[in-house]
Amino acid sequence: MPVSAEQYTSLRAVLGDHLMLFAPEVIVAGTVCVLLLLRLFKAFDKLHLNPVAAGPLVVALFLLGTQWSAYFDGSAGATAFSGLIRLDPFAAFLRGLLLVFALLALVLGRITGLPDAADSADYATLLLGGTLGMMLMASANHLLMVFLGMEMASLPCYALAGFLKGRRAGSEAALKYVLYGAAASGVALYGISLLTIKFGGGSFEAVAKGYADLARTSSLDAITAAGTLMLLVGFAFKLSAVPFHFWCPDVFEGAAAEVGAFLSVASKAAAVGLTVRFLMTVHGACADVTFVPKTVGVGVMVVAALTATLGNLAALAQTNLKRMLAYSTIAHAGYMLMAVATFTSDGAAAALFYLAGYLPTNLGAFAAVAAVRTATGGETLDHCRGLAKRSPATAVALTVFLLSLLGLPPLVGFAGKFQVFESVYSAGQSFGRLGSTTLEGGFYALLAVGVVNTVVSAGYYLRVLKAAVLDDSPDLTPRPPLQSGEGEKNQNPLPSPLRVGEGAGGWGLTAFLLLLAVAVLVLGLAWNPLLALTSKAVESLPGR
Amino acid sequence: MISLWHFLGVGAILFGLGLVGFLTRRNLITMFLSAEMMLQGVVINLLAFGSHHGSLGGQAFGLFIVTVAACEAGLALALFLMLYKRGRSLDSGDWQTVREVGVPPAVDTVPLPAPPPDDHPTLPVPGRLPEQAEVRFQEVTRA
Amino acid sequence: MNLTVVLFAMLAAVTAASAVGVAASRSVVRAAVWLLFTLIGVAGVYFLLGAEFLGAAQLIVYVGGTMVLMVFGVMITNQGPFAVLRTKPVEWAVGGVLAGGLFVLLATASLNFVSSGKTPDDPLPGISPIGLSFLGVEDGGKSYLLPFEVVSVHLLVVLVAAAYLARAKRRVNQVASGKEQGTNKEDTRQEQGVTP
Repeated sequence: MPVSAEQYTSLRAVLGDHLMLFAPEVIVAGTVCVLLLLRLFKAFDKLHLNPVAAGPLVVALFLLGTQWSAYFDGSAGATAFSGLIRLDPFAAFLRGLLLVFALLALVLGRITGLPDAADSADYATLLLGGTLGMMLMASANHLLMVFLGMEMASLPCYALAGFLKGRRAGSEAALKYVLYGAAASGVALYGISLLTIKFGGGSFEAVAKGYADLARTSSLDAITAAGTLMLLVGFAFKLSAVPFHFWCPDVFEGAAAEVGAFLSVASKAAAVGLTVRFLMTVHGACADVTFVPKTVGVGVMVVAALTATLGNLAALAQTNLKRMLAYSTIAHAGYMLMAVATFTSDGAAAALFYLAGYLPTNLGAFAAVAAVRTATGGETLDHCRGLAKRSPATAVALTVFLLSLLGLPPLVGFAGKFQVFESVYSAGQSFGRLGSTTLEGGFYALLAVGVVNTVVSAGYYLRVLKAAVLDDSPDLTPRPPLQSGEGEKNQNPLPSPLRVGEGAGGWGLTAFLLLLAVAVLVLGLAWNPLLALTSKAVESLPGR
Repeated sequence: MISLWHFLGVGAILFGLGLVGFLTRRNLITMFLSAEMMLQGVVINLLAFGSHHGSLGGQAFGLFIVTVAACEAGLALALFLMLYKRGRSLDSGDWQTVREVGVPPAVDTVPLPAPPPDDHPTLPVPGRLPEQAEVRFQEVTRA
Repeated sequence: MNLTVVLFAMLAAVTAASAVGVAASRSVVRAAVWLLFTLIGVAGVYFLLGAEFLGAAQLIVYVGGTMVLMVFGVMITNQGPFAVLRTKPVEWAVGGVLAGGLFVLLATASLNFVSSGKTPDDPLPGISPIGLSFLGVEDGGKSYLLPFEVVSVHLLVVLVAAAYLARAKRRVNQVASGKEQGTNKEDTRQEQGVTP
């Protein structure tokens, strides 16, 4: 079957348009290839390749910036590549966020020396490969792209979790992640196949149309329910939402702090974006406004409440900083899911705002843990004691990040939480006006859960703060094991890629931390520009 | 006559057995083999759908799944070999270094029967000791 | 009772039986070989569905490549006491109940499916439309240019990841690393049972 002349010209025209919008992803993919080729030359053996990889990312961000106005005035931003992905303002916002994060993660890796020069090409390749997958997740408009994006985002993360090959905990983290991840992707894929069969196609439009038909009869049949549930299980796994959160603490504790930041911020941003887009598309097509909130939405609400509560309660008991931050990540996923559960564009905007604020805050928190690790060789609460005396700048930055995670004004964490709670409250009101008292009550209960959780979370954030600022620096020479087997993980020497000592990190790390702290403060003080951006970004989403 | 449902049934059998195998087995490779089986069930589903509608979508989707599953298998195998080199075991219960504070590692309450003794003949170790060999190797590569 | 039905029944039986073998066999090697038969049976189902290309790809890529790799991995790691899987009766019971429940759930869900569209006997598009759609030509359906290209990048990234995980780290201090590995081996629990 030869290609006809018309097909050829239409292909060229379509590709020309779509490839321009898709240019950031193309650049990221090209950088992966270039990094591989660079290692062929002996001259690059001793060179740290993170900065080399960061260069094209800046170009990609610049390109995205030049297309920004085209996205927002509506001249660009329809579906691309035969409807497989949707490059709209919503996707553009998340793609920009992911690119910024990848850039910062490369810089952080260079500063803390997580990959040494020999491993830097692999680190950058994995990071960029994961980012590419996440960018596809954020713009997916077809269940095939959902699957591919999730796999592309996950597989490099498995390897990144085990990046410190010399350490048993790192290998174990990678092992748990890869096993659970394979099963979760299998379950999600089965859900995708059921939905595809049911609705006669995998595009979000087909799914939305199918849901609209179901809403007319107000009944959810078994195959749709099973398919949606299994797909959402896959999303929940990526979001580390209860009850699919069990991998998160172990993986975060075993992986390096820099990798933890990538998993907790970038992976979450992509998963939230995908969940929001899928649910809003489905919801927007239904004529009955309460159909999706009453079926899927109730499940999301319950999961959100459980996730926030369990994450915060479990974090109270932690002594390992990375493990505590993992539970904090779970809790924050719960807050974001609260915004998602509203099914309003306000809620979607709140989720985006929360993500944008979460980026510098949580990256900063993990970077501070990395700073503690490079200075002392450990990552527990004890290693954090006396931080203010040892390194005042790090302590100040850590304070800012923790208070922002807690949600104190005038930091960006407060602004994000305020947006989320406000959207939940107004969703409750609007459902009350529609006469659905159960949903109204549900949203008010969700609001109460959120507020109580914020108070609970003060317990562990302030504990770290107290240890860092008020306590004296303990003797940090390696202690003998407490019990047989118990001290094993503290005794593990750090493998060679990680530099430990007073000189490691140095001013670069301090500057990085202070920069992020300033960003947290500035975004918290002047949140109107970001708010305007997020509310414009969600306009492209279907929904009310 | 064979209907779509029959194919979906085969898919469901493969997926269900895969999921159960994944949840009950403890050998890493077996767990992973079960996960692969789950994916096969999905591909049958999608192909049955594609054949039912006479469309391209199911088949293309299936091809991508096969590709991605091969990727996953390759990565997982590399990881398993690395783990095996470290621990000489692929029992998932042996990997409990990272766990909750204060929670003891989960161990079998009933001790399992001891494996039969290895009756292979032991061969003498050929060549030099590994450490010396490595030092020698370094000298050679440096020169 | 025509040939298709007989073929389907045979293929389905082979596939399902060897799938049970994967989930239930005591030896890892046997589980891997059972999976081999499952995959071949599935490939047969693909042929039956009219997807010759996918069936051939399954045989070449999966059975010929991935599974041989897996069996190879099993052979390398299949030493010591854990070659025989330990499974307790309770686990069998739980697994069996779970399998039965899940299958009933999925089967009833599939049974609810109201068939629509064309008849099942419609031939699937052959290789040529697939190839064209992977290269971006929309011929009534979708073009799969984007996933096709993106998957190639994905393969590259995973290749790098696997190579990174599998290769040994070049250590600065050989003696120290040897010591470290020694201590790590000693403190792991499974070492106790390996050598009598």
